[in-house]
Amino acid sequence: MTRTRQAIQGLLLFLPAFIVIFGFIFFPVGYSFWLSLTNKHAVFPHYEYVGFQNYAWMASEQDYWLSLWRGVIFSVGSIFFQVLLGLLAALLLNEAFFGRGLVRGIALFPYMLPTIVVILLWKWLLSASYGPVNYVLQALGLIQAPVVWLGEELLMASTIFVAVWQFFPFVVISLLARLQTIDLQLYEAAAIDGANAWKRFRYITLPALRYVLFVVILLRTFFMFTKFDVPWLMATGGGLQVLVQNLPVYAFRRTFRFMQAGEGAAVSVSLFLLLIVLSVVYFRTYRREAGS
Amino acid sequence: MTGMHSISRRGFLKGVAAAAGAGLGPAILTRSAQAQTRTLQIWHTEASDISVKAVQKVCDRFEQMHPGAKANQQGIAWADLGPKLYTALAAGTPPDIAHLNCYHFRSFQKQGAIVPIDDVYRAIGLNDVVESVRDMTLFQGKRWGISHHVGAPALMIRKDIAEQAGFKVPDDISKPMFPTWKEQLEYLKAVSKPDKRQWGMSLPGTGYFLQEHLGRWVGSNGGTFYDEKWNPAFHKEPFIQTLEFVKALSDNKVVPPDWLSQSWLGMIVEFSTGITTMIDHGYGRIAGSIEKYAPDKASEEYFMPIWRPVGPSGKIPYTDMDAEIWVIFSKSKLRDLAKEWLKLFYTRDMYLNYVRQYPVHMPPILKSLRKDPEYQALPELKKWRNWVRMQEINIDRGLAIPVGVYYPATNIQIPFLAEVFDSGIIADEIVGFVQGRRKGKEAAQRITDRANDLIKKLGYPVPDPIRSEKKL
Repeated sequence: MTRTRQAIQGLLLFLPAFIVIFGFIFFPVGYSFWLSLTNKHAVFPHYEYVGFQNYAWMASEQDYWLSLWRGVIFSVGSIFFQVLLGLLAALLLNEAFFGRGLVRGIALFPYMLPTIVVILLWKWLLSASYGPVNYVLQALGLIQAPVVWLGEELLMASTIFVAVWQFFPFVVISLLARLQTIDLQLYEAAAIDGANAWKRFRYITLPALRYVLFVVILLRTFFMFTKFDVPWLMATGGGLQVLVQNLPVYAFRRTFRFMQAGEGAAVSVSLFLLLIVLSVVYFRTYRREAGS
Repeated sequence: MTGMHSISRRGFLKGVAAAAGAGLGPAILTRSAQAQTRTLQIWHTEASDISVKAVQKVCDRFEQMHPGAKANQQGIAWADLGPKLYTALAAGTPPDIAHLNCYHFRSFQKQGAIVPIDDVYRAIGLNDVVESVRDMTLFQGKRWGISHHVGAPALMIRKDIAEQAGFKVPDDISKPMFPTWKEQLEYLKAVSKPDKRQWGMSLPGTGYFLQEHLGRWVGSNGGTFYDEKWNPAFHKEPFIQTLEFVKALSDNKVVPPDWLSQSWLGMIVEFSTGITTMIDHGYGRIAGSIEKYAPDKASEEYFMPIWRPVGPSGKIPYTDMDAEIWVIFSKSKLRDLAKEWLKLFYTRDMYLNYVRQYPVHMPPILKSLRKDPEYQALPELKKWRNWVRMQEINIDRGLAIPVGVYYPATNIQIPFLAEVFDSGIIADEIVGFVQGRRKGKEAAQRITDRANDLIKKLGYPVPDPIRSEKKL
């Protein structure tokens, strides 16, 4: 077989992967960037090239910075509690007790539910006018008047709570898988050496989990920063939306509410770049830590 | 490799090509078959099972009448139609026929996305169409859409709760129970008992519905969203007073404390189950919810429409006109067939079968059907007599203006209504004001400024965007 023929065959074999990667990754990202340089209407075809005008608009727009800030609060808050709760649940579910299999199944349940179901469920439970949570708290005499869980003051906290409830099982699955592979002899040896439970956790469990935690936190960061459905549905695209509006929701509103696809694309590109920078910083920090 | 069947590279590539062919083949054949059978795609917002069945009946009859033609309908939840339609339009693949909100029509018309349908009107009888919707989409001498029904939301009250609190609900629905918002607020304070989980009134937090409420109240306060030169008029006194009314409802705790997160359905459940005593969102469809959630109280002994009060600057109480329109898209290759489908939809038996699914919610647009004995004999129309009557009064007296248009009805010709209304700017600022983050005047001015900014971005001159149409 000639070298040319080999090269052609090689290219042909490479082609499907190239089409998939180019078509599903590079093209949409590139098209988004191109859109962000136009004043494209979201629905109608006409547009003009406007250079970096949308980025200049974005930088001067208070709502953009507020959305970024609220996105940070939502993401950091929900990731922190997902990891904390996930870790505690994984440690618990790693212990031997009667009915462990059943409890493990139930613990994964929230993650298996569609987000719309989760939100409708919690909005109903937390409603101030007809929600069972307030009803029970009132019946127990713990509160005098209904707590406005979905009002101005607590909406962000409620949104974080719902996100934690739905997504902490992801952390549980990941950590539990690693916990089950830690050599039990390490614990036995540590116990003989006089290490208490905290020390065993601090010096055996936690180091064993660090690689998994690294990946989990990285993935959850991507997932939560780009989360659209939870903040959107919690406020139903309504009056209080602005209080839980992160960048994906803001990009959606600029695109499909204001019909400014160019501006929406600029917001999306900024989020994309932000996540890339975050990932690079995170990776570098981790490598430095791992190296030391 | 032992024990394994070896395969040559050429064989592998052949296999891949065959698999791809097998995968794509049926898709290509299906597309080709669809092209030959001429398939109409119809999207509508009446997604309930019974309405879908009624529309299917039209499709079945259509296919019998037009051999070789198919009609595929999709009932899409009301809130999902917009995004789905926008996505399809952006991709250049809209359906042939779809429902649009009335206030969308000029944006779509201006962009050349829809075609005139005068021959549909001629076929069903122009003079048989109720005046309020007949000329609604009349622009440049052509009609661009036709309503599938014409309703109007009423201000509804829990009569039993009002009477227990010592208030008389008028039997004559055109006599006001409260002349102005002031008296209405006093009533709401009197019946609100938060410790017993009872509030005076339901309000929706969902942006669209919140804006809808505000729009009809601005109209009832002598105001408008746009002046005669199409400039945003949100910063004017009637609008500011309306904002203050919303804030007063919230501050006086006569609405549930989490109303800003309340959905359309949640609001209806509140009202149906007696958690709230009043709702200014009495679309006829709610009759069904009342029958579902409070079957023992499903009558006008408990749920009565009342005449809408006016604001401090208003004289005439306005409401919305609920009358989404069918349109045919210019991208459709089957426009003539699409028109035939619409003509069939409005034939007496088909249309009666359609409106009877929700008779209180869907008053017909055809005068002849309104007088039809079979239509008039529908039990729901008797059971909710005043509710139907209230809609008729509002529509016949010209007090119902299409949703999102506020006011006058001719403002429907403004070509950027859809973008400003759908942007949610108005809802954002209402919330900012209600939460005390801004003063009323400041919030109102911000709506005007933000609307102007958007109008400019859409390519219309500011001020006086009407100049963009002067050449017409």
